[in-house]
Amino acid sequence: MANAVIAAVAAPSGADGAPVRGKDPSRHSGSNRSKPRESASVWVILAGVVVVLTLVLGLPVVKLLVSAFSPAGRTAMAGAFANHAETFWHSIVLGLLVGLIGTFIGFVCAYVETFIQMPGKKAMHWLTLLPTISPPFAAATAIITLFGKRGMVTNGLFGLEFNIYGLPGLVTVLTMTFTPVAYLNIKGMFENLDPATFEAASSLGASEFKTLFKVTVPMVLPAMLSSFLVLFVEGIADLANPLVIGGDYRVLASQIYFAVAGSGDISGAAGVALVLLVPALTVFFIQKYWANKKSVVTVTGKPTGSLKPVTSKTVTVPMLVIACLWIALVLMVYLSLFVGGFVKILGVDNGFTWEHFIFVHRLGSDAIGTTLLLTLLAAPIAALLALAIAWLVVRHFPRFGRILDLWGMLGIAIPGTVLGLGFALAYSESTVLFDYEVLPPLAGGLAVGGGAIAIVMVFIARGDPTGQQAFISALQQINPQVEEASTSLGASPLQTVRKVTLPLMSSALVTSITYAITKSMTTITAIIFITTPQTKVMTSQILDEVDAGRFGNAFAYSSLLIILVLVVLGLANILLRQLNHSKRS
Amino acid sequence: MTQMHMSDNSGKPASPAPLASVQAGALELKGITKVYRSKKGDFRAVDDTNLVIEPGTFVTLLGPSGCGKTTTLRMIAGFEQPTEGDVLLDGQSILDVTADKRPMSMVFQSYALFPHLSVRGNVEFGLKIKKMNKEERAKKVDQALSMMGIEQYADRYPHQLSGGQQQRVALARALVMEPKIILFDEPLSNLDARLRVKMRGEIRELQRNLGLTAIFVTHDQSEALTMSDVVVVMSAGKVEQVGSPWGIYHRPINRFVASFLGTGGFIAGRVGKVLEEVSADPDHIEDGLPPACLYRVETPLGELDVHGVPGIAVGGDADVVIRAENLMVGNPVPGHSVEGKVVSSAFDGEVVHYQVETAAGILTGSGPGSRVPVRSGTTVACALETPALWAVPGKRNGVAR
Repeated sequence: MANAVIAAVAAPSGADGAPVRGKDPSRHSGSNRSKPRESASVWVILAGVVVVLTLVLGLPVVKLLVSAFSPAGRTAMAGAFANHAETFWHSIVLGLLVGLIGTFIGFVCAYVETFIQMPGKKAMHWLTLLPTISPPFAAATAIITLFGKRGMVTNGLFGLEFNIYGLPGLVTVLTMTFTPVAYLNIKGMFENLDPATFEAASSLGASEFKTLFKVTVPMVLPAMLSSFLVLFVEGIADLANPLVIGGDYRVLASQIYFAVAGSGDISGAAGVALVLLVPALTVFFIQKYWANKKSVVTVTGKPTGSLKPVTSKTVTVPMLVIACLWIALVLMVYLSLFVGGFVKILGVDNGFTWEHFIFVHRLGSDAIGTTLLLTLLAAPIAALLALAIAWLVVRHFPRFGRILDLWGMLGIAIPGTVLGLGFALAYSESTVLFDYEVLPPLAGGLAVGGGAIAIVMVFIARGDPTGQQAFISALQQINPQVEEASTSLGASPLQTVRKVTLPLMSSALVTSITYAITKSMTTITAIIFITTPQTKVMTSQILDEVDAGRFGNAFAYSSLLIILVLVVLGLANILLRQLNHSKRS
Repeated sequence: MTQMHMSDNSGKPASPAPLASVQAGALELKGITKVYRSKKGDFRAVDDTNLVIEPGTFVTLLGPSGCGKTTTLRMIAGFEQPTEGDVLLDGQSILDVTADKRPMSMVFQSYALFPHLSVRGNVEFGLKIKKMNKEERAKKVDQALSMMGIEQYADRYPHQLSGGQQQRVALARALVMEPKIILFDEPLSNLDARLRVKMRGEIRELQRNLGLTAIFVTHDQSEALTMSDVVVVMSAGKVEQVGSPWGIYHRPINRFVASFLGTGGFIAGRVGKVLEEVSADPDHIEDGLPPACLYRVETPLGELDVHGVPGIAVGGDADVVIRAENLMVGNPVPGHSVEGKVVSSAFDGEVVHYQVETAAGILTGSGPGSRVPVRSGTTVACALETPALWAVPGKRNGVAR
C-alpha cells in the first residue's frame, strides 16, 4: 500500500547525525527569522511611514542641527557652558529632583493601589491620573495661588511669606504633572508580577515589611529606574512651567525661549537647544535600551492567582500617609483650579462670578474650535503612524525596523522646546530641494493655513511614540502563528491586519488614540514657537492669561480644557468600542 | 552506505526505488536549503533536502527538535523562503506564490485560533476572504463543524473551549478551505495522552476519506508510526531516511534512525561473513523496504546471524540494534540465549522494562507484564530474537572498511 507513494530521498546523509540540540529558530518569532519576499503593500506602507517621519522628525531635526553648528549656534553652545553654566546645572538638578520624587510617589501610589485594601481606590486611581489631562501650567497657576507669597495656604493659613517661585515650585508642579507616568509604569509592572512570588516569600518566613524591601522593590526596580529616567527627561524638557513658576531659576528650556522671544537669536537658541538635546537623548536611550531590558518580570498573561492584600501596619500606615497627602495635594490644586474659575480672585475676593467664563467665551470660541479640529486631524494620523511603524518593526523588518522605531521615538525623546524650535527653523520658509520648491512655508502666520499645518505635524510627532510602544508590545504578544493562520486561510497581509491583528490590539489602539488626543490638546511647550495669531490654540491663550496675571481667566479656561479633553476622550472611547463590537458580530 | 542511499533515488537499474516519475498534484522539494545567518555564524536549518510527496498520501516529517522539520514545513507553506532550491507543485515552482495564495491550509501547534472570533467566525474566516456567498458559506461551515463534531460550540469563543475542542476547531477551519494539501505542525503536542491517541485516528481517517495530501510534523515516533503512509526521518537539517513506518522501524539505515525509533541499544560487533548478498526480493520492494544483507556478526554475545544494511564488508564494524522487545528477560523462549543480571526493572502494565547487564554491557530488555517482575540483582536467562535484529554500519567507522 505504501509503495507507490514516495520517490524520494534526501541528500546524502552524513555519518550518524547527532541531533542538534539548539533551538529551532523557525518556531520562534525571533528577529532572525527571514520572511518570504514582502508584498507590494508592505513597501508602500514603508514608504509612507518614511515620508511622514521625514516631515515631522527628519527635516526639523536636521535644520536644528545645522543651525546649532552655525557660528552663532556654536558660540551660544559654548556660552551655555561658560557664561550660563549654572543654567545647565539648574536643568540637571531639576531633572534629578523631579525624577527621584516623582518615582517615589508613583511607587507609593501604585503600591497602595495594588496591595492595600481600602475604600475609594477607584477614585484615588483617577485622582492620581488627573494631572495627565490638564495643561501642565494649570497646576502651576493653582500652586502659586495656594502656596505663593500671598498663598491661601502658606500666607492665609500659616501667615508665611513663602516664595514658591523657583526650584521649590518647579519641582512641585513638575512632580505633580509627571508622577502619573511613574505611577502607571510601576502599577503595570505590579500587575504582571506572579502572586505566587509573594506567597513564596511569605512561606519562606519573610514578614510583609521585609518582603517589601527584599522582593517587591527589587522586582519592580526596572520600572522604577525607567520611570526615573523618563521623569528626568520630562523635567529638563518642560518649558511652560519654568515660564510660569520658574522665577529666577533659569533652566535650559527657558534660556532657549528667551533667546528666541527676547532677542530673536534663533541660531543661539538652536545652540542651547543642542545642549539640552544631548542629555535628554542620552537618558532616553539608556532608558529604552538598557533599563527596559533588565526586566525580571515574566509576562505570562495568566496570573496564577490574585494578590493577597498587605495588612501589616508597619507597611500600610506609612504608605497610606504618603499616598493620602499626595492625593490631598492634587485634589487641593485641582479644586482651587475649578473653583478659581467661578470666583472673582481666588483667595482675595471669593465672590461668585461668571465673568471669567464670559471672557473665555468671547476670547476662546475660535481657539476651542481650532484646538478640536487640529486634534481630531492629528490623533488618528498619529495612531495610524504608530500602528504602521509597530507593524513594520515587529512583523516585517526586524533589523532595519529598529531604526524606524528609534526615529518614531524621537517625537518624545526630543524635548518639546527643541522640537518646536526645529519646526520653526524648518518650516518658516519654503522647503527647497535641488532648486525646486518641494513644500511651501508651513509654520508661521503667513504660511498656508495660517501655520496650522505645522502644529498638526507637531501633534503627530508628539502623539506617535506612546501609541507606537503600545502597539509594539501588543504585537509582540500576539503569537505570530495566529497571523500565519490567517495567511494560510488566504488573507493578504492587509486583510490580516484589518481582520485579525488590529481587533486583537484594541487596548493598544485606545491607548494610542487617548494619548494622542491628550497630548495634542494640552501641549504648549512644543508649539510655543509656531503658534500664530491666525491659528489660535487653547493652551497658548491660557499661557497668555497667566502671563498677564489674569489667573481667574486662566482657571476658567483650564477647567474648560480639562472638561473638553474628558469629553473628547469619552467620545473616542465609545467610538472605538462601537467599532470593536461591530467587528465581533 | 551513503551511496547506497542515494542510488535509491537515482532510478538506476539496481535501484529498488518504487517511483521515478512524478504524479499529477505531487509536491516536490528540490534541493531546498534554509540558512539562518547571524553574528555567531550561519545555521543550516535545512540542508539540501529532496523529497517527492505524492497526492493523497500522509507523510510525516519526524525528528528531534531543531532537525529542520518545522522549517521544511514552513517553506512548503510559504512562511519561509528557501535560501536555495525549489518547491514545485504539479511540476510548477511555487516560490513566487505567497503563502496566502498557496492551495494549502496549516494546522498549528498552538492552534492559533482567532481569539476575537467565535468558533463559527474562525471556521468561516477563510471563506469570507474568498468572498463566498452567505448561504454557501453557512452550508460549508455547518458541514465542517458537524464533521468535527463541534456544532454545539459554534457560538462559543476559543477561550471557552477545552484543548481538544480547540484542536477540532483548528482542523475544521483548515478543512473547510478544501485545500489540496493540509499541513500539520505538531498539532497534537498540547493534548493529553489519551486524547492524542484518539485524534491520531480521527485525523488519519479524515485524510483518507477526503483524499487529502497531508504533511505532518512531529517528534513523537508513535504518532509518525501509527498515522503515516511515509515517514521522513530528519536530523540536523538533513533527511536520514524515507520509508514506510515498518521499514524505518525495522530497517533503519544508520545508527541515528535506529536510536531515534524504539527503545533499546546497540551491541558493537564485526562482520565475520556475508551470508546473503543484497536481497532483491520483490516482496521487499513492494513494501517500500530498503534492501537487506544477511551477515554473521561476531559480538560479545557470540556470533549472531542478522540482517542488516547492505554494504558492510567482511571485517567491517557493525552495530546490532537490539530493541527492548527483542531481548526477553527471564522468560526463556526460543532464540539466541544470553545470560544477564537484572540491574533494574520498571513495571508498565502490559510489559516490564528491564536494564540487564550482559557480556555486551547494559542492555534494555522486556518481559511480559503478567509475570511478577524479576528482582534486581538476579541473574537470569534471556532470549535474543535474532530474526528481528538488524545491523547498521558501526559507530567507530560509519562506512565499511
